[in-house]
Amino acid sequence: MRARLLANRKKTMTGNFIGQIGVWTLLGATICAQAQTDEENVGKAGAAQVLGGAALVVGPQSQQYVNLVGNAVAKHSGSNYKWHFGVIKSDAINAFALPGGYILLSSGLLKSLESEDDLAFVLAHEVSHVVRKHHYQVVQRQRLADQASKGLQSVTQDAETNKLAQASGQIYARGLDKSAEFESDRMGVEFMTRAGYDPAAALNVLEKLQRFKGDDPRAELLFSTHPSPAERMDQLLLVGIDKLPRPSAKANSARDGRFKAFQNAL
Amino acid sequence: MICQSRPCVLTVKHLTNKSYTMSFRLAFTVYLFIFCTFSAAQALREDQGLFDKPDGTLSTIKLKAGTAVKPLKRQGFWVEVQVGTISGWLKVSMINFGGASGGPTAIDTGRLGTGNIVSTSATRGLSAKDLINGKPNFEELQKLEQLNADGATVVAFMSEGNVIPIEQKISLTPPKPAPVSNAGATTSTGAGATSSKQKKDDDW
Repeated sequence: MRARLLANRKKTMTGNFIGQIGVWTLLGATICAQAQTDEENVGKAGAAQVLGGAALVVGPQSQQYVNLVGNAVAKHSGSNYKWHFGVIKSDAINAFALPGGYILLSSGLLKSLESEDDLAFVLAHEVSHVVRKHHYQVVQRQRLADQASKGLQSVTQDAETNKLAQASGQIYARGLDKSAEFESDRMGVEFMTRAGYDPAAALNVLEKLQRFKGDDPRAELLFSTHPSPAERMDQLLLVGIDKLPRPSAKANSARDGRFKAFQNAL
Repeated sequence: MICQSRPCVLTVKHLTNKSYTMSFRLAFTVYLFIFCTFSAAQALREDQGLFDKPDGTLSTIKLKAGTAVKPLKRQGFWVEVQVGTISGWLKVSMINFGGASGGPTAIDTGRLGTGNIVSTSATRGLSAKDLINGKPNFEELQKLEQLNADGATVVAFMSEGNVIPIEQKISLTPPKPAPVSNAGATTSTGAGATSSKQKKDDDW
C-alpha cells in the first residue's frame, strides 16, 4: 500500500516536472516570438522611413537577384530571420540593415561593385548587423531613455510606429559605434566565405569605397557614419582575412553574366 | 631601410677602393630610406622579405618594419609594391594601410582605375536630413515584404554560379587592443583566422 502511494507520488511529481518544462518552454517560445515580432516591427518602421527617402527600384529581376545572393550568405549566419532584401533608387553610396531581417541597398552602391562576390560581402556585412542586433539594441536603449523621461506614457499603435520610424531615421543618420562596423565586416567575411564566395572581395569593396572619400556627396552619409575604408581594411587584415581559404572554383560565366545583367538593369 | 643579403648587388665595378664602396653603399641606403619614407603612402608592418612572385617565392631583398612601400597592384591577397627602384610582392596583411595607426589612409593599389564609377551627381533622398525629417512610406514597405527567396531556388542559383559552400570551420578572431608602435606600424599579432585547410597561396 505504502509502496503504491510512493509510486503514485513519484508519478505525480514526474508529471508535474514534465508539465512545468512544457509551460516554461511555451513561455520561452512566446517571449521569443514576441521579441522577434517587436524586432520585426522596429525593422518595418525603419525600412518605411528609409523607403520614404528613396523608393524601391522597379525591376523584379534585380530585386530577385539581391534576394538570392542575400539569402545565400544569410543561410550561413546561423539565424532564422525571414530575409527581405531590396534595391532602392538612389545615387547615394549606402546600405541599411533594419532589425528583423530587412536590408536595403542603394543602386549607387551596387553600380560601384565589380562582381557578385563584392555584392556578397556588402550583403553579408548588413546581415551581420541584423544578426548581432546592432540597430535594434540602439532602439531599445532609446526606448528606455524615452520611457524614463516621459514616465511610461501610453501611446497609440500608429503613434508608436511613426515614432519608431523617426527614431530609426535618426539612428541611421547618426550611425553605429566603430566596433559594430568592424564586427559586421569580420562576421560578414565569415558568412560569405562559408557560402563559397571569395573573401578577397571584401578588400575590393573597401578599396572601391576609399575612392569616394572626399567631397563626393554620394558618400557623405556613408563616411559620416562608418570608419574609413582604410581603417576597416586594416581591421580585417589584423584578424587574418588573408589566411582564410579562397574558393577553389573561379566564378564561372553564369555568375559573371548574371551580375553584369543585374548591374545593367539598375 | 633596406638590407641587402647579397652586398654584391650594389657593388659598382670601378669602385675598387673598399672604404669608398662602403661610403657609396651607406649613401645609397640613406637615399633609399629618405626616398621610400617620403614618396610612398604605405609602410611595412614588420621586418619582411620581399617576394619575387605572388606565390610565396622569396627574393633576397629584406625590408625593415616601417619601410615605405608604394602599392602598384593587388592580386587577391598579394600586392605588387615598389620600394625605391626595386619591385616585388608582399602579402596584403604585411602592409599597414594606415587607418588603424593614424598614418596615411589612401589605398591606391592601382587596380581601381576609373572603373565603372559614374560621375558625381546630387544624392537623392538619402541624406542625414532626409532620413530624420522624411515621411515613412508604408506602401513601399509592403512591396519590400513581398521580396524574398526560397531555399531550393537559392541552392539552384548557387550551383549555377559555381558558388560552393565551404564545410570547414571559418572563423576570424577579433583582435585584442594592441599598442601602436612609434614606427608608424601596428603590431599585427591579432591574426586569428582559423580553418582546418588553408590554401598555401591564393592567386587564381
